[in-house]
Amino acid sequence: MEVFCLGNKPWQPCYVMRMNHTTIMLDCSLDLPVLLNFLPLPLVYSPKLSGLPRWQCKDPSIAVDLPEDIARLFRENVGHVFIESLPLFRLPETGLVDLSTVDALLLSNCFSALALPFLIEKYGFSGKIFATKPTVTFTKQLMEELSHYIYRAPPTDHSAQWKNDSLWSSLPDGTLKESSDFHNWKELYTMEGIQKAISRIQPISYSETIDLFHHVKVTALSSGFCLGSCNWIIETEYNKVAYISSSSTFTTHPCPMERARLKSADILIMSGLTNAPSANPDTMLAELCTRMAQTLKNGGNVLIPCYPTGVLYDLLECLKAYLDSANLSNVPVYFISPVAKSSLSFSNIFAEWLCDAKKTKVYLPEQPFPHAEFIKSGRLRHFPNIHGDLGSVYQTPCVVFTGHPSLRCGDSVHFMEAWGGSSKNAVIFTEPDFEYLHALAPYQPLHMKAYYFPIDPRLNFFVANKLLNEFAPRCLVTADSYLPSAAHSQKENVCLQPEMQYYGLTRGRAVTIPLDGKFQKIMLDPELASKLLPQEIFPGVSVTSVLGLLSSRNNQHTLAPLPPHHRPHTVGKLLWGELSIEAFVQALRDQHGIVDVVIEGTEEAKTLNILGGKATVLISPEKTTIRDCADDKLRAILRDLVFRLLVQV
Amino acid sequence: MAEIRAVPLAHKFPWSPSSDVGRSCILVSMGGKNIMLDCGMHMGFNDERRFPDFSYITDSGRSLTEHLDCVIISHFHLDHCGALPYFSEMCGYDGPIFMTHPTKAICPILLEDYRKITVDRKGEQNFFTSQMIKDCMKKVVTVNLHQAVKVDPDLEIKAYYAGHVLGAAMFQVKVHHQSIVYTIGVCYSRSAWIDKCRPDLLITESTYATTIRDSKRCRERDFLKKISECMERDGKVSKQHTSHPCPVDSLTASGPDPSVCSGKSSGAVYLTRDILASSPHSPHSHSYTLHTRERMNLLHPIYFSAGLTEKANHYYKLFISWTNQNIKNTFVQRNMFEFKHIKPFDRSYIDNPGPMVVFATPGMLHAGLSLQIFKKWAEDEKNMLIMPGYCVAGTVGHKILSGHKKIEIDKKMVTVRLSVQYMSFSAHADAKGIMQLIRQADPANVMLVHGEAAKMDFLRQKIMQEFGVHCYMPANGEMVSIATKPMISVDVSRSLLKRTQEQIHSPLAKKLCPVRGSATMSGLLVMRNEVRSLNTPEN
Repeated sequence: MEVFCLGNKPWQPCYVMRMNHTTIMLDCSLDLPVLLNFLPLPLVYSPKLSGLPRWQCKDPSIAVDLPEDIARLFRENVGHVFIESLPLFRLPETGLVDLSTVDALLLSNCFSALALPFLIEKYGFSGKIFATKPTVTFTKQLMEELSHYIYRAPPTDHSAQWKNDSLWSSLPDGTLKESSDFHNWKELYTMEGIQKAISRIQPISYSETIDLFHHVKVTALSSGFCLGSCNWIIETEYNKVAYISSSSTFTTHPCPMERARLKSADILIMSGLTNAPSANPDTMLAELCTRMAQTLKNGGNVLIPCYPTGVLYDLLECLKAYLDSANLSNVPVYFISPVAKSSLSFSNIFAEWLCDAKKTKVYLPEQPFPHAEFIKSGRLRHFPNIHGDLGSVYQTPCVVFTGHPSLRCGDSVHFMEAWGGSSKNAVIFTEPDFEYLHALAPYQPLHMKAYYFPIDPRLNFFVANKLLNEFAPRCLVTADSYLPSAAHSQKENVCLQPEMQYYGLTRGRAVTIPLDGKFQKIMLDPELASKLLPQEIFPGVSVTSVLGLLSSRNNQHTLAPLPPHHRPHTVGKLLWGELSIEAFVQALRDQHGIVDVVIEGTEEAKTLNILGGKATVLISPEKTTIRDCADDKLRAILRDLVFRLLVQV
Repeated sequence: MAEIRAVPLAHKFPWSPSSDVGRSCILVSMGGKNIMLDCGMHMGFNDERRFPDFSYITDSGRSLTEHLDCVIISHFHLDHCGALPYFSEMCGYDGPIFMTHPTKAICPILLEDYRKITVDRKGEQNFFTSQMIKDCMKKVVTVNLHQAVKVDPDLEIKAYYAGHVLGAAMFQVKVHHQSIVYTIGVCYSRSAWIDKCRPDLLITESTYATTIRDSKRCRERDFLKKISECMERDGKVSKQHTSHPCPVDSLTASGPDPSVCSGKSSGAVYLTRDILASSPHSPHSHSYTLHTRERMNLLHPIYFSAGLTEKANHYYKLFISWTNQNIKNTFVQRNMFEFKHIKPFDRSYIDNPGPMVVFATPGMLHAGLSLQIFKKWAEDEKNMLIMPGYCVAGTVGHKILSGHKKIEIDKKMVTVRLSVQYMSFSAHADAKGIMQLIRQADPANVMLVHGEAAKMDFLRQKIMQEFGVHCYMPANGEMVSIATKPMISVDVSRSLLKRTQEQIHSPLAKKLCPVRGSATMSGLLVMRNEVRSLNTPEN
């Protein structure tokens, strides 16, 4: 089996695996942190952002050659350089595998599917796509929100003139300079592309077995990370591969992680561990609440840049309880996103995909999430944007949840500008995927307080190591950066400590792992089977010869009785057993006095050179051949010996 | 040769009519596993005969839990799940019970409602208690659509969408290479779908075996017309007390759901379409309803029997993902199951003056509010009763539909003067649906249950003619036994398979094997501790 790694980071998974004639892609994440390198997209002209100082090329030899209009596209603030252009996105590696040959794509959750429209529009992806129902819904919402944010502002300079190699090399060290593949960055898809991609996905349930061409079977198992998130089992009759993507063992709103079936796989592919390994989500949540209450009590507003789904539901639930207990129940909470309404509505109709506590609520019948109640009471209000109805109800101090968490597009840009000047206000980051200081850089200097309380329910290394021991796969494939190295101090909470064979991958690399492929399944027709009379040759071992008609349809093989009157040419006795070389050599010596036997060859196939070249016997698990034997008598001896050491049926 | 046996369980007393629609409860044995499909109650009986005769199982000397590997419930109608608390709490079954989430949500409510009517109001003894319903529900394991559930290593079940009522499912049961499909309550529509899974036996209902019903839309238009005509007539002729009890099935198609509708007709339209029609599939309802609202400017009240039905409506909202795509797609903007013009009904409104439309349960008029309203309104010919679906023999609803003009209710004779309309909203499979389903699943045998003998026989002939498969229609208590020929799975060495396959494509293929696309394979079968492998005949 081969595994190719196409994803940028281990938490932006995208793998391709080839197994039993089938090419399967696992997730296709988009590199969103690349957004941080672009200047924020305000809804209207922003004097502050447009007034950021231009970047001055420090290298005089390049600076001289640079046309003025290219250098103009870069701005600099507090040590970070930003490109003033429509943001482009970095795709998974596309040169390693011909993406049009992929048979199927398995999507684990809505956050790791955002590159899908690119695959379909630009790389001729034509395979089947599978995802759970909630994943389909929320993937669509995430894509729509992002696309809406990127394209709603008045079109800026679409030209990609900044893609200049010499210019790039003179950039100051930083995340921007490290991205050497900027030539391949692509413009985001539009609503049409999203529609096309989403309609291609085949929605499935947990534990639903999907048969791919009768070559492999794939099954989605709950991963406990978000609504509808899953891990995958990819198996043939003889081998099992488990793919673990973003998973969580915390008790939050989704169905808990299903572990039993991930056990004893031949290969375990592990990705999507936490991005904030040192932060405990519960502690962070408590801190967030405290800081929020403090800010609100001082008359300040709180901005929480977030995705429109996922941890948000837990945050809202927690917030409601906290505001009540902190005597702040009069503070309005606003959730602003083009998909706010549908995200909140859909979350309440996926009862089957929720944890037991929430599931039981539906039986009462009550809405599983308290945010329905929160909305009814008028304390949580959701708006598609800031320019509509929000104005008529807006009051401060308030809490605002809005996107995008990178602060580069969406309404978070507006709130950063509106609230950034007052030290009473606060912005609280909860998404660990974006480095918060980098996110804040274009807005500096800021008076508003900034807090970073990453709430990432995904597995940390400690739990992942425990699970590795529990699942006990034969071998592990994971990201290089998750594995022990000189940089890690070998402690079990900073990296994986696999006790099995392991392979590390980074973007653009591949591994080949041998899998046992000796057998395949065949169906024996009951009529044919009823006529077989196996004879017991050793206790517990019975043998018989079988002659039948093989037909293969859709990669399924059946053996039926031969048609009447049809006699094949060769029907003879068959030999069975494993030829023991020691026994063979010993018999030659004891019975025939032949001692000049030289054994050569590999573990698999041995060559016996007898009497200095008078005869050669090739022995492999499949067959034994006597070769180069001019002496008929010797040949007969060898043949009889082989016959005697094997079972004739 | 292996065999599959299936028995629809008989009523508790041997003299009860053997093959009627009454309820479903089928025992299936295959590959050493025993599975019970549905556990229904007969609504036409008021004594122990309403429950299936489980002594069929216990007579063997084994307890129910020992004998049965699992119980599967197809949907929440009481004729399919009504005996469940009796079975698990009073007869002592302690094994797993499988159903979908919406079924698990709604069925205890219907059970409790029925228990109230039976015990609290009629004062019957020997019936399950509220606590028993709760305890029974604790034994329920929920399944998602298409989820392959391993009951044990050999027994696997899988649910498919059936579209009959909210949460209704068809079930595929697999033991090794044997399989059956159970499709009670399949409303065959665009969304009800099953793989070509080629089961050995397909068990299907045949309530509407000979009918090929009009499109749902036609039926709905008719329904509205009838209501509006009746209303208009009242308005012109007299403004006297006129009422239209429509026992429409809100939760259950063939089962117990009365509803009273009142208020603006548009609301009623919605109701009838989406809730009362009870099938989660009502395409076009949106535009159509708006249209009707304009045309029929009725201002009379429409009532909905409060409590149960209201609750039911709430379930539809929460389980909207189980309804059709159209409703689902628009629910964020406008939830189909929020009815603005419908008011809850109160018993004291029965004698209110002026026309009104009331939707009340149960649909078979065997008890509850619908029966109460019927008693009050039956003798005025200005009133109208619309019956929404099938009624089991023995119920008041059945008598009305059979044209009885004098009916005894609670030892009092009631003369039926109001006009009676029958209109099936129930989404049971009709003949066409059953045929399509059989075509899709491609079973080796078919078994018909839950229908009337004469109609079933007609369908049976049709199935045998068209598909050339055996078709059984056992009476209750009669066993169907089917011999199956399970294929045996063997490991074949790749090299042998590859070499044999090469023959198929070789130029000599014709010479080597007389059957096109096949090749003769010669190998050695080795059986070692249950592991079978086919090896190359070399050495």
